[in-house]
Amino acid sequence: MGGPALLEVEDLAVAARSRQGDLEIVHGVGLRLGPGETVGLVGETGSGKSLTMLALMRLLSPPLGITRGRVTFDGRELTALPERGMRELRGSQMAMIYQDPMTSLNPLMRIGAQVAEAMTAHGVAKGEAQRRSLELLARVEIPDPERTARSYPHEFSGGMRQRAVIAMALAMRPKLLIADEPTTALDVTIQQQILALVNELRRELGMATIWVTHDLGVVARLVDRVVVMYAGHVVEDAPVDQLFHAPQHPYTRRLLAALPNPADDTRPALVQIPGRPPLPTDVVEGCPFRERCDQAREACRVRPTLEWRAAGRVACWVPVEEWRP
Amino acid sequence: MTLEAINLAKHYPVRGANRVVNALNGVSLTVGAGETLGIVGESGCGKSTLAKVLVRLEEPTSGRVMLDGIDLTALTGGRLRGQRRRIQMVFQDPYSALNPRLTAGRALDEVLTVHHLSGDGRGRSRRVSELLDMVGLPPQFADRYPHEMSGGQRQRVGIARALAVEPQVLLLDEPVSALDVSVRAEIMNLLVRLRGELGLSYLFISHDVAMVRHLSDRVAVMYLGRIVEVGSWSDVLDRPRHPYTRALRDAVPVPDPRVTQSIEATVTGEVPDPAKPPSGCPFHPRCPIAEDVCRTVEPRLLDLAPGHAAACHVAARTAGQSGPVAT
Repeated sequence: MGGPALLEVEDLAVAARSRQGDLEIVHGVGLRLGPGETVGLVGETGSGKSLTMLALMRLLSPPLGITRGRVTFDGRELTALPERGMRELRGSQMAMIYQDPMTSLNPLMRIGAQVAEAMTAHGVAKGEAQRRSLELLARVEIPDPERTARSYPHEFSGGMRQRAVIAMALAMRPKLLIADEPTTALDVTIQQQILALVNELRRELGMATIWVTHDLGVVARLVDRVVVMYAGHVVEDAPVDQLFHAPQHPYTRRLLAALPNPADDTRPALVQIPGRPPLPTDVVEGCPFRERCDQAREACRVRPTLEWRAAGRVACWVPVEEWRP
Repeated sequence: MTLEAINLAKHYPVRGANRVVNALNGVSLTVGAGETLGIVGESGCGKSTLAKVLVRLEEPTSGRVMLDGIDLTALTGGRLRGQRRRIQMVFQDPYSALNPRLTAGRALDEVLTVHHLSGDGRGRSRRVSELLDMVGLPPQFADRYPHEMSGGQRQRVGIARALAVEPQVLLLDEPVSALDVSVRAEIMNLLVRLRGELGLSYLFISHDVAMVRHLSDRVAVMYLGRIVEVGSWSDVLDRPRHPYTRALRDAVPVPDPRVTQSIEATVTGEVPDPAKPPSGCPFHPRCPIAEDVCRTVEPRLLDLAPGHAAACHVAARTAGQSGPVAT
């Protein structure tokens, strides 16, 4: 994790703001990404992973807003940048793709024109943009680009739409791609094709990538490092091998054990995590996982901070050596 | 108890075109007492249509559904209702399957009333508590509305409702697909427990190979309205004979970075339009081992080993079978 960071997020908090006061949902997230690095951001529904990404792209809409913290991207402090400056960065230096490709597509516009627009919006001449849009459609393996460029999104399958969105996102060769569950709604054979494609393009462009996903399989296959979020906190941040084989946070360990092991012929009962994560409206004293944790003790009444342990960082007072089995 | 589907077909006319979509194309299967048959496949493979036809939410175009030798497809009215009670369905999205204006208790009470079960009000309320207890919910839960429940709790209520009429078969249509990992584990464990306690048979329909592997005794793999491979869970998912099953299994990312898994796609292209199915084997345009015969002759589902069948010319030949042309 040495060297200069491409992206540095420090103590980023997101809240739903109202006259009655702020309801904090993301509680001071810190993460760091080197140039070309691939990181997985995992967590269950409501863990705040998507909100954190929207916040760092400055795409939150009211009543949601950033209430504290700092985001630095490629030497520029995004949290201090005027909206115009952000617009220039988004889609050129940093891009985001979503679970539903229609979030990024205009249903009334032809696919080719939308890919071209992703470039003209950043100063590429129209003719050049049109020519390159065909190349890009071919690069994302959309068959017969000359013809399909004239299609509308509704004429595409879900997988083809996601390919078109990838062409748009990568048109300006961004330094950072945030992929927010882009394959969750797709069939598994199509998911595999899209993962392989993005991975290839990532390498070609030397692009840093954040995979936001609840699918630990996707993470195991694609990333260098994994950041685990729980109830609006980062609870663990570790190299992928350590995270899967020597998890340092009890939540990470139980999350992994909740998955069926495809190599186990005895098919034992899956490990459950009793209870549910706290809601933003719940008053949480100490560690947010404490109520559900089989390792919790007195010390956990004080909220743990993210500290270095082994090759990663973890927010837990109880070292693995002291874990009860 | 034996539930049997015999050569089921379901064809939908395509609006404004002189064509039909063959959502089901001659599907036969058997589920025995206490047995779990997993049905796995991707969108458009016909697995949800199969579920609907089995509970007669849809009429099959041809073929029969037999329950202990009784032809359900020939029954109507009261006799159909009596038999249909024995097969209950659990849906993917418990939120849309539950009435938002009914508490869990009222929803269950309603089912009991409609089916004249558990006697008077007091008997029904006792049964409601019992049903909630069976799915691991406290009796006070009867007063909760769906919006006051978590996704996992709603799915528990959905299962309790299916159990209310004392069925022998549960048709589980993607029951954990909308749930988070930790909640999914709870519901899967609950299904295993109920199966043992009540001696239920399951038809577990899912796109999730890992979950199908976890729960099933036998597994059927569907592609474009057909069963392309069927057998014991370990034969089909750990020693697949059909190239589609292999591709499907290999496409599932293994949650272990030490397992070397190719990042390359194991199968190219997308599932063809079921209204315009390919000639020959429906999988041949995407198949890495397709031969000439695959483009013209549709392979039959043949036994390649005891209890293990696949519909593939290449697999049949390598298994030493007589080959497709002779059948």
